[in-house]
Amino acid sequence: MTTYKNLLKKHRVKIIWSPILVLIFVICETTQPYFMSLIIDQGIMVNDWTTITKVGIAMIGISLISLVANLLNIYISSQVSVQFGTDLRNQLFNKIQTFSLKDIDQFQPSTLITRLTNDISMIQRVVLMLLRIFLRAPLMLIFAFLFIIKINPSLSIIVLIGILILAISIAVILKFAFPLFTKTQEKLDQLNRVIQENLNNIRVVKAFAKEEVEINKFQKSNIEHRDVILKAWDILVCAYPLMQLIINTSIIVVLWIGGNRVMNDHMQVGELIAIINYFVQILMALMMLSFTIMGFARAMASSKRIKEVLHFTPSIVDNTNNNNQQICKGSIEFREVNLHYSNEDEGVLNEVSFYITPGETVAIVGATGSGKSSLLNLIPRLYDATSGDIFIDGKKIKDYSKKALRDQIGVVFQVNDLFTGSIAENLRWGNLNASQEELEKAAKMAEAHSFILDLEKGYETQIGRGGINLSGGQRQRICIARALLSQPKILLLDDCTSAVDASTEKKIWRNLSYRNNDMTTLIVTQRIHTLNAVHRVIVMDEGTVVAFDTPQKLIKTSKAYQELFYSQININS
Amino acid sequence: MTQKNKPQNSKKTMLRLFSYLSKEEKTLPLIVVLLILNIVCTLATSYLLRPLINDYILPKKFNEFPFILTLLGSVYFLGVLVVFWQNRLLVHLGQNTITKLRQELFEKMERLPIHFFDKHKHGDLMSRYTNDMDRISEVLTDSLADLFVSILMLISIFTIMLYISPLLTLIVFITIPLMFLAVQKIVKRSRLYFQNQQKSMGELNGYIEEMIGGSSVIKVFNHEEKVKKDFRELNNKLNDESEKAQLYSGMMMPLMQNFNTLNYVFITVIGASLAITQRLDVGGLASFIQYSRQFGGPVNQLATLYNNLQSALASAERVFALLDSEPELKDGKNTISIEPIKGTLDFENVVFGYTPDKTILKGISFHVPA
Repeated sequence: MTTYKNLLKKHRVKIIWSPILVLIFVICETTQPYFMSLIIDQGIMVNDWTTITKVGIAMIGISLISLVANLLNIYISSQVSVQFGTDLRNQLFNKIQTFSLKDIDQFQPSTLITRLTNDISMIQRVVLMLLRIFLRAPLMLIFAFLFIIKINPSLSIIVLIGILILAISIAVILKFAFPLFTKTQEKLDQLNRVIQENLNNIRVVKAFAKEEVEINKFQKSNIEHRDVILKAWDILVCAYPLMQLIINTSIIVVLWIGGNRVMNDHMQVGELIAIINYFVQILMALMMLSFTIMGFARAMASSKRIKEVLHFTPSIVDNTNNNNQQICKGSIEFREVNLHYSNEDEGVLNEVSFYITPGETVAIVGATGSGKSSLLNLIPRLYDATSGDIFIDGKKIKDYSKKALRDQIGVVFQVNDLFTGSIAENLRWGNLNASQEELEKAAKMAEAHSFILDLEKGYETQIGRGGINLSGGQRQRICIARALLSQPKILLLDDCTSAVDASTEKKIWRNLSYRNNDMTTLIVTQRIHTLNAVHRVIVMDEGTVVAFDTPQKLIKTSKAYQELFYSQININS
Repeated sequence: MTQKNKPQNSKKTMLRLFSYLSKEEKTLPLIVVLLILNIVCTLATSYLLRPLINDYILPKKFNEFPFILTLLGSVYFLGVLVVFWQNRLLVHLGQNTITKLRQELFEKMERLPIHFFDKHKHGDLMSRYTNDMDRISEVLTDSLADLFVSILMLISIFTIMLYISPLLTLIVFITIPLMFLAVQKIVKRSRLYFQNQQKSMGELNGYIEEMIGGSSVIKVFNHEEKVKKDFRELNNKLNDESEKAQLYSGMMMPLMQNFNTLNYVFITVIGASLAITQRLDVGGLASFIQYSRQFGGPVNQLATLYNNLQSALASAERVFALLDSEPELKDGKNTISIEPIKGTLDFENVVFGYTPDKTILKGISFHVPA
C-alpha cells in the first residue's frame, strides 16, 4: 500500500470525507426499519394516526439526507479513483522510460502494455469500490446490529453467531479462490502475448500462410484460460448461496424465538418485522462486500504486477559524478569487451578490443549473428557490456550521463521505428527545435528531400504507425535524416541502407563524407561496395574481431574478408 | 471502424450478443427453469411472512408454529440449491461464450487483409481483446443471471403486490415513471461519456503500444521527456472522460435506491393508515414491505446492470465491428489447387495501391521465364 500512499496523499481531504459520508448514509439507512417498527407498534397497533405521520415525515427527511450524502460520495469517489488511476499510469509509464532495453526485454513489451492498461483499470476500479462500498458493508453490519440489540438483546446473540459463521466461510472461500485468480491473470497474459505477436508479425503469418497454425495455437491458450477461470469461479459461485443459507437459517431461528416471544407478549410484531428487515440489509451489505473482495482478489494480482515494475531497479543508470559531458573529438575504444544477453547463452561478444580515431569512418562486416548490431548497441548504452570497458575520448562511457552520451551519438537501426504523425514531426525527434531549413538540410543529406517533396503534403504528410505508407528505402532515408538532424559527433548506422538502391546509397555516402572529418562514423553493412567509402573495416566472426584494417590491406591479408568480398563480386558480375 | 460518439444501435448489438448465448442449446432451457424456480422460492419466502404473522403469531397458535417454520426453511433451502446450480451453469455459459467470441475474433483477425493492420493502430485492436472482452465477459458472467432474475422478479413481485393491496401498488406505480424519467436522462449522458472514455482509452493504448515498441528509438534520441509529456496529455484526456463517465454512472444507483426508500416510507405510512381502518392486515403489510424492499433490489440491480451493460454494449459494438470487417480476398471460384508450378511468372497490367487513393504500381506487365 505504501506504493500508492503518495498518489493518494493529494486527495487526503476527499478521502477523509468519504467514510464520513458513508457513515451518514449508513446511519440514515439503518434507522428506517426501526422507524417502521415504531409505526407498526405505536401507530397501527394502537390506532395512533399522528405517530404514523410524524415518523413518516422523519423517514422522508432522513431519506433525503442519505441521498445527498451518497451523491457527494459518488462525486468524490469518481474523482479520486480516476485521478489515482491517471497518476499511477503516468508514474508507471515514466518508470518504464527509465528502463534499459534489457529490462524491457526481460519484462516483455506485451506484459508492460497490459500492466499499463488492464492492470491499472483493475486497480482504479477497486479504489472506486473501496470508497463507495467497502466501508459501507461493515458499517451497515455494525449499525444494523446495534439496532437489533436495541430492539431485542437476546435475539442479537443469534445474529452475532450467524455473522461470525458467515465471515469465516467467506474467508475460507477467498483463500481458495485467490491463488486461482493470480493464475487466471497469467493465462490471460499468455493469451494476449499470442495476439500481440500476431499483430506484430501479421505479414509473416500471411506470407507463410500460417493462419491455421496460429489459430490452433491461440485456441489452446484460449481454452487453457477458460479452464482456469472456470475453476476459480466454481469456488466463488459457492459464496453467495452459502451466505444466503446462513442468513436464512438465522432468520428462521429468529422467527422461531421471536415468534414465540411475540405470542407470549414479550415482544411486538413491528419489532420482529424490523429485525427481519435488518437481516435483509445485512445480507445485501455482505453481498456487496464479497463482490468488492472478489474484485480485490483480482486487483491484488494486478497490483503485484504493477509494483514489480515500479520497484524494479533499471539496469542502466547514470553515475552520480559525471562532469565533463562534452564529446570533443569522438574517438571510440573497446577494451576486452564481453557481452552476454542472459546467463545461459554463450557470449554475443567475446574479448572485443579496438580503437577508432576521431573523425574516422569504419565499416563493420561479418556474417549474420556475428555480433555487429550488438556491438553498436553498446556505444549509446542501450545495453551495458557484461565485462570490459568502452571509452569515448579516453573516458569511460559510464562516466557520461546517458543524456549527454545519446545527445551526441546518432543511431539508425536496422529495423526503424517511425511513429504516427507527420514526416516533419518524425524528423524532429532528432532535434525538437529544428527549423524547416535544418529539416531540409538533413533530408537532403539523406537523399530524402526530393521524395518527400513529391508526396502530396510534403513534410506535413501524415505517416501511419511504423511509417507504413512509405517504402522500405524511404523509411530508412527518413531515419538517416532524423539521426543527422541531431548533429551527432558519432554516427552509428546499422545496415540502414539495405532497402535503398545502389545509386542513391552512393549519393548518401558522398554527402556524409563531406562532414566526415568532424564525425566519427560506424557502419554495419552487408554490401561490399559500401566499403569504398570507408577508412577502415572491422571483420567480425562469432563475436570476435578477426581483422581490423584498411580495405586495401584486408583484401590481401584477411581470408574472411576475401571470402566476403569475392562472394559479392561474383554475384554482382 | 471509426468510433462514433453517438449512441449506436444497442438493440441490435444486444440481440447479437444473445445470439451467441443461444448457441449453448443444452444448458439454456435448464438455466431458465432454475431461474424461474429461484424466483418462485424468493417470492414464496416473502409471502409466507403474511400467513406466519396473520394466522400463527397473532392468533397465538403455538402448536402449529413449527410447521410453518419448517415449510419456510425448506423453501429457503431449495432456493439456495437452485441459486448455486443456476450460477454455476451461468458462469460456464458466460465463459464458454466469451472463449468462443475471442476465438472467432482471433480467427477473423488472421483472415483480415494486411492493409487493415496498416490502417488500425495495434493498441486499438489489442484493446478489443483486453478491455472490451473484459467488459463483455463481466456482463456475461457476473450479471447475466441478474438481468433475467431482475426482470422476471419485477413482474412477479408486482403481481403479488397487486394481490396483497392494489392501492399500495398504485403508489409504487406512481413513483416508478418518475424514477425512470430521472434515470433516463442520466443514462443518456452516461452512455455518451462511456463511449468517449472507451475511445480515449483506445487512443492511449495505441500510444502505449507504439512507444513501448519503439523504446530503442526513444532512448537514442533522448526522447523520454517528450514522450512522457505526450503521454500525460493523452492520459489527462482519458482522465477527464473517465471522471464524467464514473460520476454519471455512479449517480444512477443512489438515485434509484433513494426512490426506493421513499417508496418504502410512503408504503409504511399509507399501509399503516390502511391497517388502522382495517382495510389491510398487519401480516399483509409486513409482506408488502418485504416485497417493496425486494422490488428495490432488482431495480437497483438493473441500474447497475445498465451501467455494465452500457459499457459492455459499447465494447461489443467495437468487437462486432471488427468481426464484420471485410475479410481478405477469398480464393476465386475457379482456382487451381497446388500443382507442381513450373515457375514462369507473368504480370499483366497490374495496378496496385495500399490505399484506394494512391496507386503504387500503375499497370505493370512483364514475363519471367521458368
